[in-house]
Amino acid sequence: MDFHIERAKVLPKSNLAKFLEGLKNLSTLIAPVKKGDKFIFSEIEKVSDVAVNYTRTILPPKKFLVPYRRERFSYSTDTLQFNKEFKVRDQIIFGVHSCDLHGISILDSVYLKENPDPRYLEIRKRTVLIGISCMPDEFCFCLSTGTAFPDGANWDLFLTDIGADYFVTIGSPKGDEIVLKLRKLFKDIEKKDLYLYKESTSKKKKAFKLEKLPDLERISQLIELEYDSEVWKEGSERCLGCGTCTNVCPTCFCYTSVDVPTLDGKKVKRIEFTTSCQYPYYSLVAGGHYFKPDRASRFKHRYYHKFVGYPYQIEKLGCVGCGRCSAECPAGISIVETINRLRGIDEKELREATEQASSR
Amino acid sequence: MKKSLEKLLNKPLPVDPFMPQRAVITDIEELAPDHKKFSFAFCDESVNDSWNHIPGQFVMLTVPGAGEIPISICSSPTRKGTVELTVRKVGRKTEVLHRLKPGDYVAIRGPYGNGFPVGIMEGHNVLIIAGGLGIAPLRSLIWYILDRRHRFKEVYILYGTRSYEYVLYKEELKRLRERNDLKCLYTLDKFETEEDRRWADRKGLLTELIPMVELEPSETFVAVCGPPVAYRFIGKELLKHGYPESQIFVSLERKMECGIGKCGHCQIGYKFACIDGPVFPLWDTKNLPEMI
Amino acid sequence: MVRIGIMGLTGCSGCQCEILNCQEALLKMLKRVSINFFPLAQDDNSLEDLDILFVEGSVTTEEDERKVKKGREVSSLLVAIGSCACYGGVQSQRNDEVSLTEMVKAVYGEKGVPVKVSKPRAVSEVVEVDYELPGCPLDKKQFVYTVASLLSGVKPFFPKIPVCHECKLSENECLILKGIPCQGPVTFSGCGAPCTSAGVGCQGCRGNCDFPNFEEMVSLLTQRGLSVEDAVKFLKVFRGYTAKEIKVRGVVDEKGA
Repeated sequence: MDFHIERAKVLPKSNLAKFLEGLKNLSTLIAPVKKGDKFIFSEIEKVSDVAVNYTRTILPPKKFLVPYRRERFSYSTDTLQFNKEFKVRDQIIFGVHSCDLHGISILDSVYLKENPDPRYLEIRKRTVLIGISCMPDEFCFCLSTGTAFPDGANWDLFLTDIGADYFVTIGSPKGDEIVLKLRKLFKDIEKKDLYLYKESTSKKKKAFKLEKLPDLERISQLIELEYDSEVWKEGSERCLGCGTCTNVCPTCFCYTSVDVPTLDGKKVKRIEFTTSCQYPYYSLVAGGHYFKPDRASRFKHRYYHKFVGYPYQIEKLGCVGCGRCSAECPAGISIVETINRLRGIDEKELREATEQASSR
Repeated sequence: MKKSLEKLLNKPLPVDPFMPQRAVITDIEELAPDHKKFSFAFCDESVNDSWNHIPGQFVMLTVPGAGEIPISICSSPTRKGTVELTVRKVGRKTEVLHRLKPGDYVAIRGPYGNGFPVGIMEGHNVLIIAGGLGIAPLRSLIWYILDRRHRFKEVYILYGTRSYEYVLYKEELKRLRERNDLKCLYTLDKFETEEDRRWADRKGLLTELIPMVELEPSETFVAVCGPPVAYRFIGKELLKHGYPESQIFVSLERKMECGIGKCGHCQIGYKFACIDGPVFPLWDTKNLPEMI
Repeated sequence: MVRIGIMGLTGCSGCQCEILNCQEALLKMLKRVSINFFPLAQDDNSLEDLDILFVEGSVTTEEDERKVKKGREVSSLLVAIGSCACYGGVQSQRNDEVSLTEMVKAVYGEKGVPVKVSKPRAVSEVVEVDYELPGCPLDKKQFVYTVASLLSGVKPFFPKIPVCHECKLSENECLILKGIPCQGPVTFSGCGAPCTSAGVGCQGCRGNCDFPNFEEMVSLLTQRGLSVEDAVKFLKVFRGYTAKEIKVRGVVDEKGA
């Protein structure tokens, strides 16, 4: 499917800067850069800014496909003529990790399967995704969600670190075109490269601390059966309801739209902004009734939607194991810990396992 | 690339489902305090002709300057040429809508949602239970059935409101009561005026009307719409009298921004009220937590 | 023309200045409104027959109370702007701790104040308020949006979501996780998170978001070095009369695990 040997290539690491320069000449280049102690996806001015060895960005690359604040259209108040001022540009997103690529394929299903959104499709058609391999840290659990490797996802090129080189797999005609344009930078694949490539899989797998990974088998059933569990209440006591977990999630898509009139009163803009199910107003209907009245029901809703809702709607788990929600939560609530507690893994046991693992 | 994804991405750009059709308000009728019925005609004649919906579906109505709101259609698809919506003045958007006058422009997109399963209901008895503003989506169903009366067996309408003042479609419902091909039972929470007494068959809760229905439960489809608090009691009472869960349909209300499963606000458990609902069989309440 | 007024009570006039800073928007606005009352910025003022009156500052003196009551009478809409008008402002942070006499004595000494004063109050405690635009100072964009909406006859829409929303979407590192005291998770957003983007913890100037989790907030602050008293004091700075919602969890240091 994606791994025709004759189409795979090798990019020596020494050529990476030239490769990025080449991409930048093709269209707008977006890649991870360092910001403080963390990383963010950003438009690249200088290719030397690109951080290849990052673990996770604060926000997923989703922000370049579904901007957090976007104008749907505007209309005139007197005649109610609607018009779209939406412009799409070509963009290359470089350095996307496997989990985020899977996240984008989930967004593809959400936006394109039923009632396709033309705006998303247009952006998506004009976006080139170039993935890169990564090693997990203590928050990653992509091995459990089955998103640790990019097979079958919807990318154009994928770079796997095999030591001195990147093993480049080509996932689409668009990716092939890029390799063709920059062919001077690539080498043909050799037997040892293939060996190293195969080895990289087990290398990544071994980097996970298995005892810390959540067990996601039959997770939908678990969440449904534990619907009235105390775990939700306990979690919600620590939850600040700040919405960080959903804002950093690569698969969350909820938004609210507001009509904003201009000062002259002649035009109204329909603005859509990203929102979160953790905010009380999210379930508030006119008249003042909250359908999710307490923090526990909102806290639970996120898990319920990720593990029961997505499988029903798009036949995939809504979680890609990127660990952003756990890493960014101001209160330090961990999705893995919540799942483990729902599973009934004793907290003491869990703590011991963690201590053992970290002392190893 | 996987086949399914390749298919999705290689599609040509679809028609924008977010783009509404311009419509003009042709008539406004004041039904009760803060309740108005608006009639609309699309500016584009071809939309008027091709418009079709299923009773129980809703539209997204753009109130100029204020935003979009989901509103159930209260006119029947069997009566062409106009779309009617009954709206209660309750929030910042409906407040603006209530200030509009005939001739003003609005924009409409839809119809959305699944609607009542009218096809399956054919050949059976139909019991319609409405509380307050819940009569609006059911009015669409009532007229749909009455215009195809021969396809349905016995029809009952149960309707409960606070007082006569808040009864919607007063004249229509009075005329329905005079017809002999359906039975109407109306109740009011309390009797205060002479009109209240004249109107109601009974004083009390909507649930108290259910035992008065003389239908074979297994042969009956039930359509319920009312305030959120009423569903649990009505559901319980219906089950007590032997109506099968899979034949009781409730129409639910949620916050919505898009109507097409993109904004997420209307989630009920794992389903979306906008694309999987807003009409759900009572059976769903068993596996959809927080539904009613 | 829509007639508007802008009134200042006890406060720093910063919000009124911020309105003057809406330069371009102000010019556009003036095509549809006439500013009939704005003592800070113009000479001829009349506090009669207004459509919208913006009130800045807390109600602290007898004069304030008289002015705001008159303002309410002559205006069909009254909008409280800034944290002082919405919540009582920084000057009301100790309202529940000491008496008025003690306050006056601490600030003005034995001589006292020549005017009759009360404890600083939010405008809504004295007269009915239609909308509140909190912030210290108020956010210019929100002010323009509110005016634009009201001119179109629509109520403005402000979901009371926490500052974390805007902060996270600006891709800032979480200050709480870095150990800097920040009130973002319990504070009403709308400001665009300028403080946290500059590395300064949110001071809570915009008041409470919907259903704030103060127990956890206090617990997080104490875990990072503040005493419970200091944490509560920090949270109270801008919360004025809403400070009574601040709750502290019985035990605060059992969370290490």
